[in-house]
This record gives sequence, structure tokens and C-alpha cells, in this order.
Amino acid sequence: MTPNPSPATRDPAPGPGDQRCKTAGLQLIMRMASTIRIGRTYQAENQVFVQQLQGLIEVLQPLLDESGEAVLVALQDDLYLNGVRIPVKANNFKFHRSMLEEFRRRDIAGLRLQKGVDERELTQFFKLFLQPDVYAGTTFLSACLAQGIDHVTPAIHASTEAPDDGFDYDPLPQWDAEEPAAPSDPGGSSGWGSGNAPGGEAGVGTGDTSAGGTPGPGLPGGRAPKGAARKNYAQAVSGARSLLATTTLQDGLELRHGKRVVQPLVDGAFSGEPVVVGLSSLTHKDEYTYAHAVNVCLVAVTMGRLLDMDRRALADLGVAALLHDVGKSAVSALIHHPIDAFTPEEQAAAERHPLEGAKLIARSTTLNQTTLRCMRVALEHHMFPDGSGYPAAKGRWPQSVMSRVVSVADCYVSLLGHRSERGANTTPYEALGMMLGPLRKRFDPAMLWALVNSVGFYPPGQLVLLDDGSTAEVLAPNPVDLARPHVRVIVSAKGERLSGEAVELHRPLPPERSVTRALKAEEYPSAAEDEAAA
Amino acid sequence: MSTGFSPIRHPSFRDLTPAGMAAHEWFRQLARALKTCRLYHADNPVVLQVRQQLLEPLMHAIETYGALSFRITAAEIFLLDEAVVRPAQQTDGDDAPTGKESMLPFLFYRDGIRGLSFLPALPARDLDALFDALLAASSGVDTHDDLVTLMWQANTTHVLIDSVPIEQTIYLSSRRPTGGGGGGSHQGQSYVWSPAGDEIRADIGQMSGAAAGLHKDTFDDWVMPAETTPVEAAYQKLLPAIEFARMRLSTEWVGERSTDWTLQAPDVLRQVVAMSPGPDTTTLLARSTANWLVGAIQRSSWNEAQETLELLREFDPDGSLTQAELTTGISGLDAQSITERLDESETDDQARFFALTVSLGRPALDLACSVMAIATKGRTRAAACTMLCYLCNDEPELLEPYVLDSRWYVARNAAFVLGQIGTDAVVPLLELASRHPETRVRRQVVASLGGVSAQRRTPILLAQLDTRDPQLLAAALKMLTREKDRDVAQTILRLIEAPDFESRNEDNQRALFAALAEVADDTVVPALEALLHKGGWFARRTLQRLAAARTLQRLGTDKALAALEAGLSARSDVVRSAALEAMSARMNP
Repeated sequence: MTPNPSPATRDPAPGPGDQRCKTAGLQLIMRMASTIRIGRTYQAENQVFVQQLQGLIEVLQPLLDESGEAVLVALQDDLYLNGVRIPVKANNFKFHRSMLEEFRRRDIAGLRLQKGVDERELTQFFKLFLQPDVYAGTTFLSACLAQGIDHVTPAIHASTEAPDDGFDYDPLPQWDAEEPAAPSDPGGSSGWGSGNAPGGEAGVGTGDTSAGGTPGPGLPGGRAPKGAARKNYAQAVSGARSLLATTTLQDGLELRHGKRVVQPLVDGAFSGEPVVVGLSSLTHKDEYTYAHAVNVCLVAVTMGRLLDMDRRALADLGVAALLHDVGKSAVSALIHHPIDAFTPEEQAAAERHPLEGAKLIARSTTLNQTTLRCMRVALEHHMFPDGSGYPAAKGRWPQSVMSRVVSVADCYVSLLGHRSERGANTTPYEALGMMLGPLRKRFDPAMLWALVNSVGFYPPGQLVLLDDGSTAEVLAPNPVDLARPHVRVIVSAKGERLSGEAVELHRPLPPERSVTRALKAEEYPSAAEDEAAA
Repeated sequence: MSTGFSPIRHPSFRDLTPAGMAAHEWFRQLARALKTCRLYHADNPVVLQVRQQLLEPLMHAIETYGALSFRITAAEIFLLDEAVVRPAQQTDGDDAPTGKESMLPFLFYRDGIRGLSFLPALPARDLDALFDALLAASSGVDTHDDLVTLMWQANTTHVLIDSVPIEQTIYLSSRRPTGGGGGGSHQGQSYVWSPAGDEIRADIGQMSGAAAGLHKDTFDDWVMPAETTPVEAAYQKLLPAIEFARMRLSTEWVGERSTDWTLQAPDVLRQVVAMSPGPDTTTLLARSTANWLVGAIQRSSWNEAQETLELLREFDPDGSLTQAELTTGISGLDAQSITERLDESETDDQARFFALTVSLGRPALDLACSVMAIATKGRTRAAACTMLCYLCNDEPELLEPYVLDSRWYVARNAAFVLGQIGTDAVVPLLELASRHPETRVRRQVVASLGGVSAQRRTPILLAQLDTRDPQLLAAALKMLTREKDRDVAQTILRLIEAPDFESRNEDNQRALFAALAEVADDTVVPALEALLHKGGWFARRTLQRLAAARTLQRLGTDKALAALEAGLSARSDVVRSAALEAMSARMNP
């Protein structure tokens, strides 16, 4: 029986993001399998085969329009379309199997189709593809190139490991094994300033996410996290983006996905990895929401760990933290001014976002323990233990423990990335000072304790003046002595900018050394100085 | 690249190595244990026993053969190169066909697990964690947790899984790696890595338009204070109160964590409604509650479901907001597993389920019918029938789809329930069911017509007289002959006089004559007399002739007896003989 895949035109966008990839992937492999089967019976010029190709293009077109390419590859027993695993279900399993077998016969890992592919090119391609005994492996690729087939090419090998030569690839050093790098090394791992040089940051982690990019708001000299922590962070940002971007107000939340996203972060918290280093890599504006959600998640999970939550609770806490602000999507269109200049209507709309978030989660998921926790966190993260805050609860309504954790984490991360003019010049140390000073009464003291113990007195990314007059960048907190974090000296006591092997690392700052004070934003080295030092 | 699919025929399980055989036996035991545990409560002694019995053979296998590492494909589980679990197939000479364990590979594979290892010194806790995860993942309930997450949460140390991520960066190459690593040379080819030298991962969300998704965060929601304070000093100030604050928090957390979420959820939902009163919120939360209710039913958690239903009635007193959701949701449940559990449940549990479905009303109809159809235990079916009677008593037409169901047993059950309801309101539906191609359904229809008035049931019963099925015919005739009815008699007579009457089997023929004797009066005498004399000089001894004579005798009216006596003086021996036989039966009944 001929498979009858639904043409993409009938359902061009069943859901955004990853969901689209999964749906398109299923359609694509069904159409491919059908095309191959028809191609075995009919000549390439035959109308029946041509119709199959047209159908294939219809399926591909939305994907090509959106992503510029469609890369269908096999990794072991799985098929991936543009990096997203095509789900295996009982009713589509035979297409998976068939596609894997076709690739195996041709000794290729998959196919890459690029925008601009047309019927003529596909016809030529399939003429070669349908002769597996003649064209296989690199011969197949060479034949495609020789015939000028530019937009459909076989991939001979696919791997999740980055290339090991010629790409300035950062081999993801572990935190403890990390080597110092020049502050402005464009392709290196330091990520000082802009770190998204070709083959550098972008080659690491999952997706072209947040590792690197421009310094984020409120984080003078923002840095990308390192090693495993950085990989986890990048994966989490990518996952958060998938989770949030693949969900519309009409679609169901992929909480299953969300739980997978937070697992490495929780693992990091359990292994003592300084996951909060991710905080220092707020990136370009488009990533703000994802980075904000992930940063809140990072801080919350680290705090939760300090508060003796178990893995399951931490996973729920992480997902809840990722989703705490989903209600903003329902009111953001009504808000046009910065928070200091909110009109009464804008204020009311802003104060509605927790409630909208809880409703949205209730609407988008099936209730269970995780979703209930997410709902409570969304609803309560602007309530305070003394009953103030918003939305106003009816009757006595204690804020849940998870809501209190996320509330503190959200406030801290928001101050770090505040959109106000002052926010752009607020250092992590100052943000923490605000939490412990003017905002202290709003929060449970145990939560503030957990926050300080999570990020240290001098949070990652903060520049500090050491007792010998040198300037150092805080890399990670030191849970044993909050006043002596892990640092990297970047300006010597003599005022010389240090780079390369000259950079002095202290993990942590030894007892005989101390931090004199945290630097203010205006004391941070400028980008011009960075370049000069480089 | 290995696809992992082996087109070869597997050798017999008997040819497995000892380690393979041990693993094979263990997976079979695992599958059976899962099945058992799905049927019974977790505290059932049977469940506890089968779980305990899983550990010992696995431990023994590990002790004997060392750590066991399995490779998992969609249809098989391999120990090294041996398929210790494989698709259900009968191989030549294999006396052990695969059973329930053939479902295991896909259960792992579906959630991205490609490898499973058991290490020496396996603690019971780890195996329990794996078992619980498999149980949850195979229950058909949407837990939001896949196997990978469940195993991750359990944090097992001696049961390790190897899984593939939901998404990952994939690097393409025009050549195979020359050794080690994932990269490789790509010189000399115009096609190297994907453009921009990075990854193929699409930039989702951002490219597809900012309006999509829930990532619209365009405003600050925390006011930045004008002042800050030195952190070290502020922290020192905080410390004296910390000990008490942490203790209090810890107590609160323990309390919160130990409270079942199902007890917290109603308060949260009510709070949301109170904060945002209005039809939109009520509708939304009613639907959410309805989904929760559906999930509770799938989990066979009847108390939870009943309480959720009560909550739902708070938001949606008349059911108008959620009827469609409930109907769709409940219809989509795995009725097979629910029924299996019900079959094995105590009567109290069954009663809770049936009370729940009656409270649910129309949306539960599909499930109730499915339970009645699937149940293998008589008491479950009986209870399901009672439940359906309650559900449909006022609106028997609700059963119409089931009466027309192509599955004969579903239609038969519906007809049975209609019979139990038993008023004339069920007649149109029974009439529909009476046209079902399956005889067993029609038999049930006839039986169910017992509670219907004679006037309404007679046309349906008469329509059944064309049947060649003796049981159906007998049942229909039995009901038709409860009282004398001239119309019925005429119908039967027409059948008897029909040219194809003789093609019926003799039992059928006799039954029709017998029924005629029960319901007829003198109006049929001429016709019977004609049958008695049929053939004239050439009359033969036939069953019809004898039966006609006997029917005249059983009618026993003067006119009938006169006809019979006339037969005694007929010129044909065969006619006389038939009349005589009937008369003698009268004398010696």
C-alpha cells in the first residue's frame, strides 16, 4: 500500500519550533519512503514519480523557508531532522526502519537539503540515489557534486562530536582542568566579551544558543560559562528555548521535555559543579527570555540543593523556574513603558502575569505533581511571606517553598539583567546587595541565606579588587569560604592587563589573600581596553 | 552505521548461551511481573511476591556472568550479539514462543533508551526503581515523565541506562573519521561541514516569528531599589536568625512534600478562580479538572477520581462546560487495562468505579460499555450492566451507537441492557439491533423484548421468523405464542405456505406449526385443511401434512376437528393416515 503522507501544505505549521521539526520529520520520512518505492517502479520522468517529488518539495518547503536547510541524518537507530530526534511511534516505526535501511545501503549518514532545491535537482539526485549498488558513500557524494546537484547532498558521516581540526574547536574542558585563556581570545573558551567567533563558541553545546554573544544587560564584561558547566548551560538555554518557543497559547506544554532540560543542571548542583557560572552569560537581546528563565532555574536549583531538596523536587523546581514567567506572554502586548513609568493600566496588566501564568499552565498540561508545583510557582512568585505582593490571595494563602525559592532567584536574576538605565550598570555584587538590603524584608531569611551560599559574596562575573591591588574576575563561588571565591586575575597590581598564560588563577583564593572590595561598573575595563590588551 | 535491525531469523531460544538464556528468562519474568503489577494494588501480596522474585535470578546471573549490558533496538534486546528478547514469532523448532516480554524493547526504545546495564552488587532499591519506572511508563497514563526521567530521578547506581537526547547538535562530514573522535578530514571536497561551520540545529522560535511561543518577556517585573548594601555586612546581620529560619523552612518543606498533590490541587484551583473570577477562568479550570479526572480514571484511582468529579461539579455544576472534553478524554482511555484491573479488583473497588461512572453520566457511557464488553469476570459484567442501566434508564437512546456497533458482543450487551431497562422506550433501539447481522445479537434482542408490551414487540419478533437459526426462531416463537393473536397466526401461516418452507430444517418446520397451534383460531383451519389434503391422489407422506393434521388436532375447535374427521374419510391413504395419527394423539396425549 502506498503511504499517504499529509502534504505539508495542508498543515504548514502544526506547531512552532521543535514540534514542527518532529511533525515535518515524520512527514518527510514517509514521503521519502514513498518516493523511493515509486522510484523503483517508474522512470524519473514518469508523472507518477514527478508527483512524488512535488509532494516531497511540499513537505520540505516550510522547513526550508524557516531554517534554510533540512538535514535528515541517522545516528545509530535514530533519525534526526535538523538536530531534533524524530519520535518513534508504533505507527511510524516502519518508515523509520525503511529510511535507516536506505541510508545504510548507500553507506551514508543522511541527506542535507538546502533552500533552493527544485524538482530538476531532486530528479537528478534520485536518479543517483536509486542506484545504491553504483553510488554509495563518497562515490555518491562525488557523483552529486559532479552533476551540479548543489542543494541536495548526502552526508557521509554524522557525529555529535565536533570536528577536531581546523575549526578552533574548544574541547569542553572540565571545570577543574580548565586552562586560562586570553581574555579576548575570539575562538577560545574564555568568552571574554564577544565569544561567538566562527567555529569557536558556536561549535559547542547544543544549538547556536547563548554561549558567547554580546555582554548582557547589567553584566559588564559578561562571560560565558566554562567546561561542563558551560555545556550544561548552553544545553539548558537551548532546551528552555525549545520548551518556551514550541509552546503557544494553544499548544500543550512539553513538560516531559522540560524535565530533560533541567536534568544536567540538577546533576551539576549535586556534583558541586558551580552551575551558577551560567549567570554570567546573558547574551543578545533575543535570547533574553531563555537566558533569564535558565538563569532563574540555575539559581533556584542551586538554592534548592542547599535547602536539601531531593532530585525529583529539584527537577520540578527547575521546570517551575523555567516556566515561572510564562504568563508574561499574555500581557506583554499591553505594556509599552519601562517599569518605572508604568501607567496604572500597565501596572495592572503586569500584576496579572502570575495569574495568567498559572492559568496557562493549567490549560496546557494535565494536572499532576509537577504541573501543580509549576502552577503554584507561577502564581506565587510575586507574593511575599508577609502577605504583600501580587496577586492578592483570598484568605490565608501561604507561599509554597518552591515559590519562595523561585521568587528570590527571579528577583536576583532580574536585577542582574534589569532593562532600566541603572540596571545596565549594576554589578552582580550590587544586585546581591539590593537583595540583602532594601529588599530583605520581602524574602524568607532562609532563602536569602541559600542565595548567598549559592552565588557567594561576589557572584560569578563580578570584578573584584584584591588585597595586593590586582583586579580579578570571579569565576565561581567558594562554598567553604564565601569571601574567597575562585578568581582569575586579569589586571596585575601594577595595572598590567594579563592575557594568555600570564593570567593568574586562584581556585579558590588562598587564605593569605583576600578581596578588598567589589568593583563598580564604572571601574570595569572597557571593551577598548580589552581589545588593546588582546 | 548499524541500523540495529537484524533481518536474519533468530535461532531458537534453546540455542542461547547460558548467560543469554538467563537473561531471556529474566526478561520474561520481568514482563509477567509488570503485567501482574498492573492488575493489582501495590500492597497486594501477589505484587510484593513477584517483585521480590525478580531480584534473585538477576543477582544470580550477575554473580555468575558478571555485569550484564544489554543493547536495545526497537524490537529486540541483545546481550552481546544474542537477541534475548525479540519480536513474537514462531521459529523453526522453537518450543518457546515469545510472550509479553516482546513489548519490552519498544517500551525502552520509545523513550530513547538504547542501552541497559546491571552492575554487580545490585541493590534491591535500584531494581525497584527500574521496575517502578517501567510500570509507570507502560501504564498508559500521561505522567509527563519518560523512562529516562524516571530513572534519572531514581538516581540508580547499579542500573545504568544509555539514552539518546531529545535534541542535539549534529556535525556532518563528507568523509568518515580517520580514527577516533567525531571529526575527520574534509579536504578536497567542496562540501564540508554545514554552512557557517557550526551545526545543523535550526534557530527555532526566533526565526519563526517572535509571536510564536511563550517567550515574550518584554518588561521588568521587579522594581530596582535605589540603594544597595555591602553584602558581607548584610549577610552577617542575617546570620543570627538563619538557624531558626532554616528549621522552620525545613519543617514546612517536609509538610509540603509529604502532602499528596491531589489534596493540594483543589485549593490551588479554587484560589485561582477566586483571584480571577469570570467565565473564562471557570471554563479553563473546569477543563483542566476534567483532564485530571480522566487521568485519575486511567490510573484506576477511584477515590481520587470521585473527589475530582466533585471539584469539577463546583466549576461546572451542570456539566455543560466539560461534557465534550470528558467524553473525548474518557473514550480515549485504555479500557483494556482498566477492565483487567477491575476484573481483579475487590468488590469495594468495583463499586467505587461503578458509582463514579454513574455520577459521571453520559461521558462515561463509552467506558462502561467497553468494560462490559471486555470484562472476563461475571461479576464485573453484571456490575457494568447495572451501571449502564442506571446511566441509560432515562435516555435509552444513548445506547444507539452501541446497538449498531460492528462488534457483536458490544451490540449484544447493549441489547441486554435495553432488556433490563425494559420499557417501550427501548423498542426502537431493539428494532435496530434486530437487524444486526450477528445471530447472537438478534437472540439477545428477542430475549430483551420480554419486558416490552406485546403490541410493540410483536412486529420485531415476526421479522425474526425468517431466520434459519433454530434457537432464535424458538425464542421468537416462544415469545409470540404467549397469547393468541390472529395476525401472528396469519404470518406464521404465510411462512408455512411459502414455497421455500420445505427448505427449512424439520425442527424449524415443526416449531412453526407448533406455534401456529398456540396462537391460531378457526380462521386458519381452511388453510391447514388444504395442507392436509395437498397433493390429492398423488399426496405423499410429508412432515407438513402430518404437522397440519397435528395442528388441527391441537387447535381442538369444532371446526378444526371436523376438518380432521374429514381427513379420516379422504380418498388418499396418506391423508387418512395423517388424520388418524393426529386423532390418536388426541386420544393418547
